Amino acid sequence: MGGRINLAGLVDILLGFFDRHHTQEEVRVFLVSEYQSILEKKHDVENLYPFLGILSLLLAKLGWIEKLDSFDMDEIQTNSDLDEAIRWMEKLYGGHVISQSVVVAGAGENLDVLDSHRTKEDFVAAEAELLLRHVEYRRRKSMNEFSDDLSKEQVLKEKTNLSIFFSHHAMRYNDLRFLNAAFKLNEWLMGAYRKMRENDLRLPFLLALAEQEYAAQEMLR
Amino acid sequence: MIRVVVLAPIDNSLYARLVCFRLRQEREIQLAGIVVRSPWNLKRFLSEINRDGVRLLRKVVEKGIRGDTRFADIPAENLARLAVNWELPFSSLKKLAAEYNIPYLVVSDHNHMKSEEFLQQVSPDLMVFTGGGLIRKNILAIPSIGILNCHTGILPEYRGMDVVEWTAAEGQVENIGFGATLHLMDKGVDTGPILKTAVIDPGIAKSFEQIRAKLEVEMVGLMLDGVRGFRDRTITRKTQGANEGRQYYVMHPRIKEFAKHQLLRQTKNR
Repeated sequence: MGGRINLAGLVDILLGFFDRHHTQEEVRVFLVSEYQSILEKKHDVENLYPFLGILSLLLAKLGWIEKLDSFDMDEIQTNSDLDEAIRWMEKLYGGHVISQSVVVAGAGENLDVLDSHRTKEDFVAAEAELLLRHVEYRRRKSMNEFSDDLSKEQVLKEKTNLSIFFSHHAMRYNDLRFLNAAFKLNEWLMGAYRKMRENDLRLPFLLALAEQEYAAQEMLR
Repeated sequence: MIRVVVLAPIDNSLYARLVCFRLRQEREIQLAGIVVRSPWNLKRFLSEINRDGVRLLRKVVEKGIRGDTRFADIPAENLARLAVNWELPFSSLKKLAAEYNIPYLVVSDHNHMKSEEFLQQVSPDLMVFTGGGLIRKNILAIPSIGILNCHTGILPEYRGMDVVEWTAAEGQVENIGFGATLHLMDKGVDTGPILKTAVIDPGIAKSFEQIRAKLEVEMVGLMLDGVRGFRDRTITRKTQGANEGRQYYVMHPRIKEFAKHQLLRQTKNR
């Protein structure tokens, strides 16, 4: 209909402009370019070797870079101390990782450790559900309040750890709802990333993105 | 005689108009009030923009501006066709209420004190919720029977948002299918006792829009059946177990894209 204003079409154009989400291709280009730029200054990030190694491994698994021999994967260990995670869990006030919209510091990291060992499965499943609900309802405000007095940098790390836990949990239990939340968390974090200067903040976020993409590749096919 | 109040999300809600129009014609059912949520409310806007993001724009244009004409692009069964078949003469709930002399109230929020006072005064046996946000304890406690809600998914499996898409994304079109579930509201999200379910044949629709349009038609029928069931005392309640289903949330565009492919894959041989 030539002269008729197609409102629905107009809305689609407007939404396309404002409702930006990152496509897989955009994330790929961004991740590979950021990874290469950090790799060029590798001597600056020696203390972040594990992050860089895991990132490299994930990007290679995704088929986005050639596998690098410069990382000895046997040396790459994450801080997955199960005993520490169990002690953290036992100290939780009220037995939950979240209370009155305040998230307990270490939630993402420790739940991921417990989850990876398939330990305390009922606890992890219930708390993951609580965190999912919290993130989906409170959205951008969801990770602003923590039980401990955390610095801005620590808060960013908590957020990336939660995103990584969601991506892992999604794959472990084939539950797309958690990948859905990881997509959202990482998009909200992308804005903050632009302002991050230090690699010890940038690398964990890049890792969270790579974990998201790896989960997406495994689950969305 | 059973006294019914309808809660509506907006004055031109076609779903609410169809339900009210038919309830008015039923024997031993008194449509005792209509409460409409005003769209002009900052709190509502902020809450919906937080949930939907800029997708709220589509909702405003589709429901607020295009109104019934939005169905013109949908080739499947839909509410506008039902309205034509039923010869629905009213373009708004306000006009319907005026014609039949039904108490009518516009509120900023269904849980507002003004709404509570009105409902206390009308004292309905049953309330019919056709949309307009969460319902709090103060309102849930008013009707002697409860508040009916129709959810666009199969309960208890698929609670919450975008469940048509989630059903497809999880490959459950064959096992669980698409449908609408009539239930009584409680303080949880889609967790109240189940009254009736209508399942549709997914083969009839090739897009989420078509499935939703068909489900909306089913919802009108389910809602009317529910009210009749309470009037005739023929309806039974099935309690949902807390762990019987999962709650779903607004779907990210990348998963929605996957869900579209999954839908086509699961329905291609039908």
